Amino acid sequence: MPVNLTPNAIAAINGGDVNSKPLVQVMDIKLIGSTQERYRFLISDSVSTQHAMLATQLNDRVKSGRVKKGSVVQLIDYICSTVQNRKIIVVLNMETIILDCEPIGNPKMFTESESTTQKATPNSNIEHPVRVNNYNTPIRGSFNPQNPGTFNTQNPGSFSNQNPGSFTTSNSGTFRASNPSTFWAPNSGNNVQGFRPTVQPPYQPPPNYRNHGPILKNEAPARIIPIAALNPYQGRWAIKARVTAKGDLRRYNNARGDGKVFSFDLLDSDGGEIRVTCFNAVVDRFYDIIEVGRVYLISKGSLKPAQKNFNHLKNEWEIFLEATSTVDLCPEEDASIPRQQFSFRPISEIENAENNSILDVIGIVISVNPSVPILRKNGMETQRRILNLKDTSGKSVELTLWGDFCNKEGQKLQEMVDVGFFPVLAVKAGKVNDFNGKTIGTISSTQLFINPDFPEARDLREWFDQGGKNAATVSITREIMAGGSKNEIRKTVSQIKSEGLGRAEKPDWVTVRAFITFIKSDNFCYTACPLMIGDRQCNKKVTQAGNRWQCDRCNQEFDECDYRYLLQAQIQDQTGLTWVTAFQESGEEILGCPAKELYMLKYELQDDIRFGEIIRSRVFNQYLFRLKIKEELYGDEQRVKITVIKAEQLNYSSESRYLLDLISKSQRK
Amino acid sequence: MYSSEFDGAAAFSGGGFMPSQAAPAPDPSFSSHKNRNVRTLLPMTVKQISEISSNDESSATIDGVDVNTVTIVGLVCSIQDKEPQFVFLIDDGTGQIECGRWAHEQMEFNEVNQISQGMYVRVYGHLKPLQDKRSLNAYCIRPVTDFNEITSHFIECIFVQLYNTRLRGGGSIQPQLTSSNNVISSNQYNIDGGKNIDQMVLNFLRRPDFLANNNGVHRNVIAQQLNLPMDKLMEALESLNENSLVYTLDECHYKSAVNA
Amino acid sequence: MDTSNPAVFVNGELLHMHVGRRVRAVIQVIQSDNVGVTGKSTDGLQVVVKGILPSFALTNFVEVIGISDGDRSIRAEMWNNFGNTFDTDNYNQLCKLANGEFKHLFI
Repeated sequence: MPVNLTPNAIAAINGGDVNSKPLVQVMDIKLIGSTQERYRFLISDSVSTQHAMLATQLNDRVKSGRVKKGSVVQLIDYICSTVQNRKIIVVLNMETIILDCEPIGNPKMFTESESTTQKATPNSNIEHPVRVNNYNTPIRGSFNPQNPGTFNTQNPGSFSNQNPGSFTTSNSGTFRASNPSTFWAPNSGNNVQGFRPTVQPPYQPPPNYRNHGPILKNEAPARIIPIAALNPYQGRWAIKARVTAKGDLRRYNNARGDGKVFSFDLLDSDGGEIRVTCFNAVVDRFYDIIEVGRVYLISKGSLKPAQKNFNHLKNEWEIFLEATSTVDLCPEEDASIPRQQFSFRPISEIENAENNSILDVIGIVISVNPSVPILRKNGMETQRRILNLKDTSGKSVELTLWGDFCNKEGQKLQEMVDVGFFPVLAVKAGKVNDFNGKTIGTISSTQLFINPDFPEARDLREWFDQGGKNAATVSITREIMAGGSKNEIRKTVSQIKSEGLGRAEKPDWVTVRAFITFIKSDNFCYTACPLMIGDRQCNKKVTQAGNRWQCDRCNQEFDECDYRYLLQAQIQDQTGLTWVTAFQESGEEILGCPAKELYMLKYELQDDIRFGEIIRSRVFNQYLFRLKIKEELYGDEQRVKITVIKAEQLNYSSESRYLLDLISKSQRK
Repeated sequence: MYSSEFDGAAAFSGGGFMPSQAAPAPDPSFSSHKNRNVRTLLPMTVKQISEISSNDESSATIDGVDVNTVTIVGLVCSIQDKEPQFVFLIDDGTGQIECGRWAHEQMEFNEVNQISQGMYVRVYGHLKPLQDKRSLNAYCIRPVTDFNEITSHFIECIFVQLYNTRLRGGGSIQPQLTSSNNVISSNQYNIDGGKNIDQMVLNFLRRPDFLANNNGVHRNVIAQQLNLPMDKLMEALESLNENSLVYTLDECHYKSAVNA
Repeated sequence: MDTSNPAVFVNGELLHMHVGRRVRAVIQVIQSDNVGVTGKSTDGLQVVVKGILPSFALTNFVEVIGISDGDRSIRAEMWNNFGNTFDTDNYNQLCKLANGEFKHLFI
């Protein structure tokens, strides 16, 4: 039972048609794009073929198999753009009519010389020369499309948005067919199912902008398109979106003089996001108009590549507003546009996140530490607060607040936790740091929401209050996985030297599995200053002043000093041995007791036997050593210094698994 | 007996035999020469130990690596008190070997007293020079508490042998630098060359007769006509396809998507 | 040094390759009485162990060293308690390697 496509539809689209909603066949699908995933179709109208780009909000259709090579689809929303002197069709919405179909006709690649023979068919009866062999029943009323994930339904599954959100779309309601006759193309092999396409009324833009047919003249108002469809070759466009974030007004001074700039982020009803930036005079026009949470109609800006260093939105473009740009506040609330777009990751997933990646997270705040002044490298002082978030994944993570966050949200959170209330905190655009396990830190574009009214927040609250509070949690901070973490680089002792580790500008961080084979027992610790600076101990080496101790940094004298490890030890594996230095934390891991205890044992009690026994018992233990290797100048000689950052006792089970994996990998070669 | 300084040598050995680890290098730095012996700690099975080759009494090698300290894991079959040392007969399932543990000091006695027959232990030691039979001079004998250690030890034996016979790279960084320089320059050469090939292929496909041909040109024909190796041609076609300059329906026939 | 009487690492599958020879295997105890011990080998097969029976209480996992008596049975000479938790997957992989490419390190 053959299906006829809409012949010459491609020529029509090239000629400017945007309304005919033709039937075409997808001849090929290719995934392209390095920064942003884009699908490129080769569509055929049985006469011609042409490349067509799929708008990203439809990516899911391909991924889920709702459209594939050979599918016959009805193009619902589409435009023809000129990109690098070639015309490319952009599909903004479509409906799969037949999923599997043999290639129809013998189409030729469309060339522009053919376009002049075709005309656009605006707004007229949709006359499709489609023959239906057995089924000719006219159907009125609402249609149930085979695929619920279309543009106009409540089902959010069509957008690659992990957060179902609460948005509704603007065209909910019954669909009214303007053409009472339907086409019902049977699916080969399926006797029951029919595919009823959604024949929708033409797109009705808001009253101010009527579509007068194909976009031919510059005076015609631009149609509203999804943010995801924006690109520099778009031609005329307009977007309707809500401001989700407004940046500070910043002044700058460079070789060209003084200037000012501010940016704001937009979110539209399809979940598309984009940053908008204004410079100088443009700032004056719009800065006061833009308010977070309001919806605006924006048009006539230029599109440029997004600056990924500052802009963490999922869009490869950024809008720059100019003198001719228009920004109109939409006074009526548009419920179809969500207030914020989140993509929350469970804390357990953050364990595997890449260093410096930006993500959203939501959790219950289980602890808040006081704000502490931190001296930055540029000499400026800022505030820092550390708090811990826990979620249903069974993991918790340390969240570091910097600067203003400490005094505003941080203070509020502290007050809540102090009285025994553990609030929900949502973090948008936090940055992953993997120095010590995984932590998340705030950056300038981070936004914090305390007890927000999201479904995730409500779920978390319920889970916590009904037992989640006492659920066992493992922190992903300060926990380095044995042999399996993607961030760990495994080396042998001999590789440290043979690969020249530590000789580059930055230190090398590696993991070595080795035995401790010797621990130097003189000078295994030093006398340290016990006074606190902020929430950290000073730890500077103190000198004796009579029978007291003196610290030069704190400028104080005191009776008791602290003892901290400064161990020299030898580690050895099957490739060789090397000396390492271990400080307090790793020293304690290696020796199994505090430095002070050992010091007392050796020098106060002078119990050499017990002292020797302890040292002796710690030798020939095997560890996973996390080492920091850096070449340093000692006097006038360059020496490679190896410091043990962490000495983790070997977990035989997981280490075996790691080795077995390596063995099987090399066996396959 | 004990000076104020902990005497590693006394603790680690006895009886005149001085294993190298007991007297560690005084200078913890890297200003060492390549000629110094690599002092390794190898996990081994008794079977492996029995097959160690040795040129003379003082050195032994296995899989091209010097044998210094070894570690084995096995069952204690018997313990004999042969003053001044205790002799443990250890069976690791691949063979049996005698391990002598000198005990002078209380600490050493304490260690030995923890060991009993039938127990799984880990032994660290040095191979005694080959006389009539190999035996171990043990620095340390400890009971096994986590039995996954047994599995782990034998897996390590396998891994280390694999590493020494197949995976071990080595060498200084200098040769690597020069070779990587070569790689970079040849890549650049390829990139430039690549663009030229792309253009060449595109020009070929834009010939009027090919433009008119609805079915496209088979890649074999392109390769033959342009005298290109197939992998280079496919690279070029992939790149042109990515940029929407050619299209293909079957990955064999290609057609220009652009008018001449 | 004596390598004349090794005990090969085996799981249930590998037992039949060493009939009459000395083997060692870790099994998870299913049942133990004065007739014998039934256990699950590290590859999930049921194994019956007779011969010299243990004189002490068995933990969840035990190592039995003895003579392979054919498919799925061992005549025990010695028992070792391996505790109540043990990574059987790793041990199983070890058995395969010790009977395969790396046999020469063991027998």
